[in-house]
Amino acid sequence: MTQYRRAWLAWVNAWNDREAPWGIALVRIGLALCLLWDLSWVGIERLVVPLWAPIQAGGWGDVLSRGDVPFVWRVLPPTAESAWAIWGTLMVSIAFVGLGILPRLSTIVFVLLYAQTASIMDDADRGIDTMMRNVLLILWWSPAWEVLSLRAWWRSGSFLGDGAHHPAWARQLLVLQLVVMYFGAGITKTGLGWMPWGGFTALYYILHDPAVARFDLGRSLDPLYFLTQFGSAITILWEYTSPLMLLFFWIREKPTALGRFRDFCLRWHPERLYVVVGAAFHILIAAGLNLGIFPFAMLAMYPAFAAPWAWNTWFKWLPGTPNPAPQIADVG
Amino acid sequence: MLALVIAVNGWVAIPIGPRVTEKDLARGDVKEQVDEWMGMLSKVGVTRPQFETFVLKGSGFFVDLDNTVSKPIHPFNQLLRTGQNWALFTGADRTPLRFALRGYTEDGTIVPLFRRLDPDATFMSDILNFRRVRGLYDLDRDEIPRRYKIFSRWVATRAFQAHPELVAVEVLQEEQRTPLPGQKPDMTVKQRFKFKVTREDLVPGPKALQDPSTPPPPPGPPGENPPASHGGQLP
Repeated sequence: MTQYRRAWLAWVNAWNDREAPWGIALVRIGLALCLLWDLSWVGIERLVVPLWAPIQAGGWGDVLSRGDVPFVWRVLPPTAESAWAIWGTLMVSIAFVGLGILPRLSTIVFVLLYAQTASIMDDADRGIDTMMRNVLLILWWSPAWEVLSLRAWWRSGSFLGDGAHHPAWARQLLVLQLVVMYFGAGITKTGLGWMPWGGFTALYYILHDPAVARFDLGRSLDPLYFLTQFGSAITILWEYTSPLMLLFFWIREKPTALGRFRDFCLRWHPERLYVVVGAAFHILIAAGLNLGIFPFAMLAMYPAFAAPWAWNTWFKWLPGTPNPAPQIADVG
Repeated sequence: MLALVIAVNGWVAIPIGPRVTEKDLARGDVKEQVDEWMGMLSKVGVTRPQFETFVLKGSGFFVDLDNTVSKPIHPFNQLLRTGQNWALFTGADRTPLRFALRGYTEDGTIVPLFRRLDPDATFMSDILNFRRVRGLYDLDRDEIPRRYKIFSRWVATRAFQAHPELVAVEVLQEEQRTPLPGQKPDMTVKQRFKFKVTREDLVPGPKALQDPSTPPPPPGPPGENPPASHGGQLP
């Protein structure tokens, strides 16, 4: 066997696990709820036309005079009613994604149309929107609809599905996506406020930035300045070292090599520390900063971090059997 | 397939660009950042012109390389608006901008309408604090983008409708340095990105014909003649 063939087989084997898709189904439902909330707010505040209609119909964007007119405005009449039709289609399709009705069709319709809204008004489309499109595209290929969905109920007679195991690669790819995002966010933090020689001042300044802060803190945070410095240091350390999570998850789910280090990881579970710090990071962001759905949508993706056997271990009434969790004694 | 997706997204995830220009390097906040880096780099013999040349050439090289490599997948990313550019809070703004909206009455009195995080100026706060709307006025550029003006006219129209006593509405950004603990606060507040809209500006006419965004004229004070225009000369 050539070394290329061996490498190829190792690659295929690495992505060939099977599991009950609880984690990725929860991601699907969580993201759908976040997007429904956000889009509902657009509708309730009557921002559909300002955000997404052409300027001639009352929008903020001079979208029709651009060189790259978005596809929707090449095929739809440039009216307020068309903008509301876009919004309605987004609402229905993401609700269908959450419920698991025509899941693949509704997901691709949502992603394509959501991308059009980004093309129409890119100022109103943030990093978290790009992230959600990325993740929904992963879900499109995934078995996220095989449990906790109306499709599961239709096929198996139970909303919880039939307990069958499905390919795990989509959840693993989602974990990779999250790590890429965190690491990318870390290495682009070039401001000196994130560096030790800059005094780790970044978080203090961010919490006082009126554009994003939730409260006008004035000088009230000064006695806790050291905590903001600690938070800045932890943030940058966590983001820089986030690729380690991939190693820890790999060892957790494929404990086949690396000897003592593997034993250490299986005994102490450092990946749990990373997940807890990451979740705390988003909860604190939600408390201190007004970034809309960003922290909630990020937390909605965290079920992907859970071990594939964890759900059936935590909730024994779920259908199916847990994957065998690796034990230190088994891998000596 | 997976290998291809990971390879392509792996390339896209490399944090390249945008291209840094001499104009960027002349910007106040960027100059401040360069100053801080020079504080360290000068100790190892790097001069400011050397560093700036390195940044300009380096960014140009990598942006050109990225454009070449990413060209085949660019249409795909444009269609789906996916990407791997995760620049989140790359730096902390020491002189942040605070969006504000204020009205002027006929006698020149200033009426605070909205000011970020100010509990006494909360007009349209549900809308103006919304993350998607914040993107319209959360500026990091040295010039006022056209959308900002269109957005300002829209906000002004709403303000005129809710406050018939107003003859002009102004959007602006207050820039003030954030002091660190122990530092003496600098109370200087620079007003930037100011854009004033009068009721007359919103009346359809030759000027309005040039700008299709012009909304219908808002109702004036009941029982009064339309207010005289103050152009941009109100205090």
